[in-house]
Amino acid sequence: METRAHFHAELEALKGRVTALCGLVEDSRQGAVAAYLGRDLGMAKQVIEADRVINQQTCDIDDACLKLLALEQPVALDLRRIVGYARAVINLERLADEAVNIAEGALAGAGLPGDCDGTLQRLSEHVAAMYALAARSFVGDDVDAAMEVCRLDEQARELAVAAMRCITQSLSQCQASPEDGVRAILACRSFERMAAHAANIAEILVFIVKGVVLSQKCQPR
Amino acid sequence: MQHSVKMAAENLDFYYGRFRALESINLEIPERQVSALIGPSGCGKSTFLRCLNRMNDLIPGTRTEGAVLLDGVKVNVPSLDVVELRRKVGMVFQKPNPFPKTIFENVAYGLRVGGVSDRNFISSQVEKSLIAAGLFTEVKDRLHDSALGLSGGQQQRLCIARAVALEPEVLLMDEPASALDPIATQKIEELIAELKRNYTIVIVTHSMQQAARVSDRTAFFYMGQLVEVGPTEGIFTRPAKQQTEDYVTGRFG
Ligand SMILES: Nc1ncnc2c1ncn2[C@@H]1O[C@H](COP(=O)(O)OP(=O)(O)O)[C@@H](O)[C@H]1O
Ligand SMILES: [Mg+2]
Repeated sequence: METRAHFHAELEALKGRVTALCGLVEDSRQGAVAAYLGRDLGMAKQVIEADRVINQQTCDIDDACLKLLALEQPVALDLRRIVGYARAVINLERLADEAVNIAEGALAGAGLPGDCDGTLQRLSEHVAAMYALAARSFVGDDVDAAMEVCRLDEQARELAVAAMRCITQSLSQCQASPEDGVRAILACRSFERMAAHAANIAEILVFIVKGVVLSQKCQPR
Repeated sequence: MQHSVKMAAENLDFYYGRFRALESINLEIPERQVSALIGPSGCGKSTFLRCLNRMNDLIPGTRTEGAVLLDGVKVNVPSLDVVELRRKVGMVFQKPNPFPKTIFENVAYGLRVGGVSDRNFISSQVEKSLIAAGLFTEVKDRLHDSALGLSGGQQQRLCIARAVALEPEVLLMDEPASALDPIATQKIEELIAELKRNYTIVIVTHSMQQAARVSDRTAFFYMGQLVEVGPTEGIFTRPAKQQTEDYVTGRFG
């Protein structure tokens, strides 16, 4: 049995491209927070602009995965890695789409005053931590980090609920304009989706390394 | 569906002189399933296969310890009728090895040697076997031509027909397609899928893709040991042992 050094070099290169995409998506995520909570409109435009590159990278990586599947007939860890990368880039691309949604919200108008931006801030920080850990687990094949991301997802939901409650309250007390309120709720929803994508990426990493598919409550399905 | 155990090795050791080629192999061969044996060259796949119908007995200086069971009965005992064992456990080799006789006589050979003389029975058995081996339509008009005029792939299917004619219960195949071109290989693989409805099949292959395509269970051998055995899908998607992983992904240094 000959070794497959050439194929494994291609896999390594593919991993490099996924890692680079993780970095671009992190830039967009950070940019969206600065745009929305920091009212940085220039940053908002940058995030929207950067999405084209992210979409293109996603398609390219997806093509590369398909090509390796077709031509190399990978098995075991190699197979799981390629399938995992193809799934992960979909989540990365969508995570970046949510960053675009938030940035567009920032362009449309200001956030909410006071407490509600505070709850959104906490939610966004939680998402930042989840994504950083997810990306780190992915780059380092780190199952422990991935399991931690999976567990953090529950808390993200709670923080999103708290933020939305704050927003609906200030709407009902007429402290916010309906437009601002709706934008804030949409931003909230986008952060929550980001958390879900980060959790998916972590689950995919567990699948790659362990061959186990996680489901509700981070348990093997 | 639960498949009963057709053959089994229990703590099987095999020696060529002082060289231990198999070390305490424990392996069950489920009935009417295809079991594939994979592993690097020299790891003992063929040796194991030949233990199943005692073909190793023909090699002087060899010795077996432990048990090989057929339907729960130990076959590696001196009192066992080896001819009868090999009728039940047929074998197809790597290189097609038809006799320099007609196509018909190749398939009829085992029956004649076994003392069958009823001409009608023989010719119906030859036809049945050629059909089972997927060869009949290709050769029905030249049954009495020499088998040596057939292509390599046809010769191999003829050898399968020859084995099938004796109505064995188990078919052992040692790299049956390694000397064949891709199309002939594909035909053999299709044939294996057909044959497993009626026979228990054990196939040695050096092509992992072939093992993945044709087998229900895969056993990975390494240096005379059975490293891992399980459903083929599991071996090729998430093997339990690192050695298996390294072998199937081509990371063997
Ligand atoms: N007839 C023989 N005499 C001595 N040693 C043998 C004989 N046949 C095989 N061996 C040795 O036994 C080991 C297993 O061989 P084999 O079963 O042919 O491996 P595989 O089929 O996996 O390539 C090898 O080390 C080989 O050299
Ligand atoms: Mg061999």
